[in-house]
Amino acid sequence: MILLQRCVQSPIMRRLSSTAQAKNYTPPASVIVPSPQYPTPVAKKHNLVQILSEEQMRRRDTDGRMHLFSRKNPHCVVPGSVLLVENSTSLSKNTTTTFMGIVIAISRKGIDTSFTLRNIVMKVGVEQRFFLYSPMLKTIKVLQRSSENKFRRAKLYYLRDQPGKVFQPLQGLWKQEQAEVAGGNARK
Amino acid sequence: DEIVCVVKKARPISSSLAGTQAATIKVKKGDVRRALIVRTRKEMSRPDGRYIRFDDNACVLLNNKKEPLGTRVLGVVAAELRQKKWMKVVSLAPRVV
Repeated sequence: MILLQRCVQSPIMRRLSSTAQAKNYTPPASVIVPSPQYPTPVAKKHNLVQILSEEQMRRRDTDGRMHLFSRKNPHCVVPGSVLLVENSTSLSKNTTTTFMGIVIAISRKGIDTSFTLRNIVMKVGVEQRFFLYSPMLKTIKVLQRSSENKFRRAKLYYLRDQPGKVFQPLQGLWKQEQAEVAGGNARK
Repeated sequence: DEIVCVVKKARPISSSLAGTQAATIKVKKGDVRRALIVRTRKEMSRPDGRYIRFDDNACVLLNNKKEPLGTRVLGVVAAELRQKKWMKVVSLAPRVV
């Protein structure tokens, strides 16, 4: 439940906020209150949807993925970086599928923020589009962050027509990553 | 998805096998057969919202009993097949994405 403070207070709200009853309100047991309660936002005339989506984004921002893709972060993921994504295939089982690829597009749309990874698997190019705030997305690892001069575009769709030279180092990165994971597991 | 398709290009059957029983199983140009689509260039959506796209369109030929005609499947295959219960093709595929 979000308790909104309207800038222009309606008579009802004014009455409730003055009493102690409103401040110490405990919802009945039948109402499920989501656990992290954020401070009451100020709902001006039109930004209610924006507030709701921002809250949803913060709720789903486990393991700091919002920071990975936010423009304010100087080390954010940039089109051309190599990412390794782990997706859980079903909610009941613990099975995960991993996909690695070059980010060719980042579409920032609030809670529907998505990124597309492209890789060449067995001589066939495969592109997968992942939604950042999906609960099925388990982990995102940045294997290689591209330098600013390498890919000077926001959307790298031209890579579809190009021969796969760009994708050749990905195999090496994958093996490196596997070795690191194996080393980590052995140490445990 | 299963489709009915026409074979436009096929490897010529070698003359040694021309008259034998094996030749009837082999695929000739102009055959109308059933096939199972395994890769599409058009993006397919997954139930959790992911989209997947391949660079080409590919299918696996099936016989009338909906079993794959060949003994091997080449290249990547979409994981949708597992969902749609084409387990034989999935097990033959070298990589499922």
